[in-house]
This record gives sequence, C-alpha cells and structure tokens, in this order.
Amino acid sequence: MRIPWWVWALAAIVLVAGLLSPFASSLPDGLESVIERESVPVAERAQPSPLPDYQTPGARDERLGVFIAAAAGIIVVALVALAIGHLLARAAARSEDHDPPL
Amino acid sequence: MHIPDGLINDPRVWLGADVVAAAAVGYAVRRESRRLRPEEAPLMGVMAAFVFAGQMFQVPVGAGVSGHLLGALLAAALLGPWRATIVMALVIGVQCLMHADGGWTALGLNIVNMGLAGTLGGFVVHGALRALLPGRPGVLVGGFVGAWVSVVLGAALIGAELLLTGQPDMAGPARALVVAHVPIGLLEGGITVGALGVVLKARPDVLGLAATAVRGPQPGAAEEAR
Repeated sequence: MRIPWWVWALAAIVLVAGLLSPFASSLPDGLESVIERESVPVAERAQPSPLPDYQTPGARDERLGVFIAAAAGIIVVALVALAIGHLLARAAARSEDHDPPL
Repeated sequence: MHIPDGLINDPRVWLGADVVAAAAVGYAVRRESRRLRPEEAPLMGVMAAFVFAGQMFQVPVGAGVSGHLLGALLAAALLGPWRATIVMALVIGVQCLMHADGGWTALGLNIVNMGLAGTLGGFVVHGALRALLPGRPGVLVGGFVGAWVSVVLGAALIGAELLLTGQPDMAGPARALVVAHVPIGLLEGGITVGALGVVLKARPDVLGLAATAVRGPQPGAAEEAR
C-alpha cells in the first residue's frame, strides 16, 4: 500500500520540531514581557493537564520530555483535524446527493 | 501570546469571547460541511501539525523578548478563512487542555486573538492585496502584510480586552502590547512568506494559481499523478 503524502509531511514536521526544540528561546514572549514590565496583576490558578508547559512529567531527560510533549501535540491536532475534515467532507457529499450543486 | 487564567478576570469579557469564538467555529463547520471535498482533508491535518509545531518554537526578536509563529494567516491563505478558523481553534484548544498553554477561561479569548485575528482580520488584508496584485507578488506581499497585521491586531485585541475589564491603569500595558508585537509581526511575515514561497513552487494550485502544465489544474489530479 502506498503511504499517503500527509503521513510523510507529518513525520517531517515531528522530526524538524524534535531537532529544533532544544534551540527554542526561553525568553518571555510579547504578552509575558508586558505582564512583567508593566506589573499587570495575574491571579494565577493551577491548571491540571497531562503535559504541562510542553514538558512530560516523569521523563528521564528534559529534552526527551519536550520532544514527547511536542510529538503528542502535533499528532493529536493532525489526526483530529483530519477526522474533522473527513466528517465535513462526508456531510458535504451527503448534502450534494439531496441538493443540486450550485 | 497565550492568555493565562487569571489575567482577564471579568467574566463578561471572557464569556463574550467564548461566544464570538463559538459563533465563528460554528459558522465555519456549517459552511464547510457543504463544500469540503475528501481530498482536501489531509491539508487540514498537515496545517494543524505545522501550526502546533511552529507555535512551540520561540525565536528571540530583541529587547529580551521572544516570539513564535501564529500561523493563522498562513493557514487561511492555504485553506481559506473558515477551514483555517477550525484548525486554529483546534490547535489552541489542544494547547490549553493537553499542555496548559492558555487558561481554560481564556480559551475563547485566545481563539479570537490568535485565530480569528489572522484567519478573518489578517485574511481581509491578504485578500485585498491579492486582488490588487495578481499572481505570485500578491501571494507574497499579501502573505507578509496579512501576517504582520494578524499579529499586531491580535496584540491590540488583548489590549482591548484588558481595557474592557475596567481595571485601572490598563492603557499603558495595552499600548506596550502593540509595540512589543510590531517586531514579532515581522517574524510572522517572514516565516509566512517563506512557507508560501515553498507552496508556490510545489503546489501553486493550492493558492489558486495555475499549476504546471504536466500536473493539470485539479488538486486531486495532481495528487494522483505523483
């Protein structure tokens, strides 16, 4: 069976994200820097999540942890978006059966 | 650029943003459930992955500040504004629920500021420039300017949301947000133009431009030919 192009594209994105992630800057982003400099109050609340702040709790190596968190996020969003696309396309095909195309 | 929980505490503001975000995504789903073709689904998945990865990669932009790609305008240029709206909402939702990036009460705010600001706001500018400059120059100039607008508009929206909470002394931070995102918008423009340049070479048909003669104008047909 031929592997579809999007599988290759996804693999490339995960690979490049993994290779680049150790070089990502840890400086504050635009919003964080303004919150700090202008002392904007933030009532921080704990927010439970499986991979907080793009880290994997319990990972032996921090870089491996970041890679796992990145790969998991990339694969989840890709598969969900693909599934949404298929459902929408199926709905569109069904509606074409009933209405004549414009 | 993700708003954490506890920054915008006024429920009128964050619930209002939830309503706006839900209305946009709801309209997008309704609209696309009438026109999406099966062969167009994979690009939605790949764009979601690209945007997620791009948003993780922070790049220093000077003055001790970093920025990352938002990708909303790029997604809108390649998928159209409504499919891009669905993709951006999905990415921002997963970042919030899986990675604690962006607060739960700020989900609607973040979808408006980082999604709709680009997929609808930046896209209007992008579309206008493509209408003025046909062909490749329109794609690239419209890509750069639209991407810059999406980031600065997103920052201005955060400022407006801070002002709407009615807290005192928010005018300074609102102004600072816009100023801080002027260079971050240039980064967004540069990455967007780079990505659009690759697509222009490989698959101009995705951008509505004539494909090379061998492949034919049908995206599906081009797919089969490979």
